[in-house]
Amino acid sequence: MAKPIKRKKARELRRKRWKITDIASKVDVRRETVSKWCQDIELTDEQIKVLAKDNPRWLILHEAAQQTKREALHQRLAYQEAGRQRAVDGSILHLKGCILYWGEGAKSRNHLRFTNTDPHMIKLFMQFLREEFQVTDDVIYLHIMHHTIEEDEIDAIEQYWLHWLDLSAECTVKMQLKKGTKSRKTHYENGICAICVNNTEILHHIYGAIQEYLGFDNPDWLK
Amino acid sequence: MVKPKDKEKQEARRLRNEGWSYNQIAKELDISKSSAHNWCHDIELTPEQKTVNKERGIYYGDNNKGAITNKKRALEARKVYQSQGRLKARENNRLHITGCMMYWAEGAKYRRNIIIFANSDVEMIKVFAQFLRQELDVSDEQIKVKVHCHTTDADKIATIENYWLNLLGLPRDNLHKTQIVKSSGRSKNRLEYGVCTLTVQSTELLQHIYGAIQEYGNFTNEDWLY
Repeated sequence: MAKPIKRKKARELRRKRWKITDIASKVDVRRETVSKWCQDIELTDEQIKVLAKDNPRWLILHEAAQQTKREALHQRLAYQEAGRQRAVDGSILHLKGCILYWGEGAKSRNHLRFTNTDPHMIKLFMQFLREEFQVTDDVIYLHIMHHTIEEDEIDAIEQYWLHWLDLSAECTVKMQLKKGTKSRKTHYENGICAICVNNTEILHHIYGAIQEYLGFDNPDWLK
Repeated sequence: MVKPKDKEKQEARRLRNEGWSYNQIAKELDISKSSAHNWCHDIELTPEQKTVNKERGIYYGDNNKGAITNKKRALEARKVYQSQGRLKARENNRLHITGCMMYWAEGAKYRRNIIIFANSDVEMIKVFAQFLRQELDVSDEQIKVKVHCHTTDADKIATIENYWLNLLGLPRDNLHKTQIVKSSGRSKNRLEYGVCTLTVQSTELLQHIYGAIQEYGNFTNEDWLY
């Protein structure tokens, strides 16, 4: 997780009822970042009163936002619980996929994203998504990063990954290209490939399963 | 796994197959001789190619026989270790799968005789240490710990070192010198406890893990043998 020390500091201050803007200037990050880090810390009634006094509409919006937030959190908890249930008698493939995601996957909230250069690892993860979650080609999007500007090579690489992962044309492919420099030492023949699926349910299922398999709790993943 | 300088490596291997000497390859591709050797030492030259190289005045005689024998013996040993790992993998033991998958994701795969596993995640280090102890029967003396951190404050460094040692239940003797990464002052993602690296010096165990990963992932990676 990025900026762990600043994040901890910000959360501490927020619990002491600091204002978001004050925290932002104190720990030297943007206001939006502080808001994201501290959004699960509830405001006190006093604070709400102060905020509502200036702007009557604020209270209505605040209530609605809180409601949505609670519902979403509840939903994520349910997804994680389903993952935990599955992990109790999960298949071997389920275990492999979850552990790989722990190592190589992005730990965001709603976007599943698994990045690697090793074709075999990507293939195994793809198999995991297909067999365990019945993910179809149309919801997958591939994000391929590579250092080249040659048209032929770009096409070849796109075809390589589509063919290797047995994906049909329904899947979206996004190529992120950069011009290579001579001093660049690391050169991956087929670029870096990321499998992305925008699905909260699958992601939190995996989070839940990881925690159950290894026997620990990571509340950060719920936020 | 695709390694750095892949193009040069392929070119070097092609040249070596044609019977070029390491010196010639290094000059031609503008790489170091040791890189050329690293990449191509598994390629065996034909007797004719050897004769050509010999005639060019390159030192290449029976004196190498011992080294060649040792090399073959070590390769055979690695193959045996990998097949042991594959056999173990067929038992589908949960902790074994977990450890191997974690090593595939986070471990160092460029060495052939030392297990290197680095991470900043406490849970990951814990689980991997458990895997080493329970599945691979590694004793406490064999596990070495190294910490990388940004701070230069002696107290803080001691705290960080103790934190990881306590976590792993290891004595101070197992700790390598802590590496302080000189900070540019702009580093944003400073980790509270730095990065912890576990190392175990053992060809057998590393190749066991490699073998098991290949069995679990259902593929073959020749690179890991050499």
